[in-house]
Amino acid sequence: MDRVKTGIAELDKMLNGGFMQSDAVMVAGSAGTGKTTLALQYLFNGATQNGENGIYVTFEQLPDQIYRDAMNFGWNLRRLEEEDKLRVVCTSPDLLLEASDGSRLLDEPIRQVKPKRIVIDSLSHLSMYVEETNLRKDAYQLLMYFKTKGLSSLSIWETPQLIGQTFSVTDVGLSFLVDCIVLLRMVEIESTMRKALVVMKMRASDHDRRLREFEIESDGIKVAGPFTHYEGILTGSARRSLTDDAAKAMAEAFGTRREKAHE
Amino acid sequence: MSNLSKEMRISEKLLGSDAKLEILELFHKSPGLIDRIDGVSRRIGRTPPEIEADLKDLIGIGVLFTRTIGSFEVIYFDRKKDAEVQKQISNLLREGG
Repeated sequence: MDRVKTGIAELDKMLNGGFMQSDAVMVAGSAGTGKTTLALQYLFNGATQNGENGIYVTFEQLPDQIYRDAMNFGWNLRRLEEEDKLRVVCTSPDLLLEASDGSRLLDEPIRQVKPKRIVIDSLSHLSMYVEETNLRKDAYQLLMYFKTKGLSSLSIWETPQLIGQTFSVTDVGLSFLVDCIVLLRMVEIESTMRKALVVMKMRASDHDRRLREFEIESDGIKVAGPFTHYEGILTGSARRSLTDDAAKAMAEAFGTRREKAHE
Repeated sequence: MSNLSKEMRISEKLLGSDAKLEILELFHKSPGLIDRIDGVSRRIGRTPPEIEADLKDLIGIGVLFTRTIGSFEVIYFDRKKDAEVQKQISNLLREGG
């Protein structure tokens, strides 16, 4: 089955080639972790590298900052809009959810750009306009609408900065509605704040389950190697892995004894 | 002659009020804005009654159009029509010297 590539080479490898087509993906993370950057990169790369047009839905009062931030990475969204490869839709959450007569707000931009990808920035913003009891139903209907239109959706969810041994991605039960969850975290390692990424869930597909370090560089997100020498990273306060150190010490000790025996 | 009159009428309508220019500026900055009249007015710091007539003019020209979504009337921006109107106005200004 063809995959929906993010265009971020290492992330695509982690996803076994990319997201599954028409899947609902959630990118969760606290403020400043790079959720919007990842979402914009996903849309820009889709339109410019894979011929997959996109729609970016924002609930900001004015989306100027989105155009500006994207331009800082060299992603000219206005040009993509002129070429009918992208739409930055700026609207209100209640309008996005409205579907009482069968027509939806996004029918028009979908007709115009024939997108394959859509980003919702953000599902957590949307949740502020909906009663908690209705949120799951409304979010489910919206995600199903995207699937019936053949869209691979990526919804952003803002989590609080969580410190502790256990946590859930969302506290309103949205995790089970989505097919894939990518979690972004700030972590403190040796007095430095670093960024970690993990694919927490991916239905019907194998994927890399390791925590990987990533950075936001001048041309977007770059995913690096796994945090092999640390544990407790998701608690936000990682420590060097004792088992690694112990294994190293044992190997050294064993190696020294063997060398002595050979002398 | 009739073409020129049409262009003049359009430019008169477009340049007829500050609110109209503010609405146009808003949609030029955010061409993907889709909202109700109260949302549009809030984004430019005005009230719905203040911009109602101006919106009607812009819808009449075709730069904006509406769709009914559920119980709401929603306003969209037509980029192609806007580019067309801008071209007409620049022609008018050139010909008018």
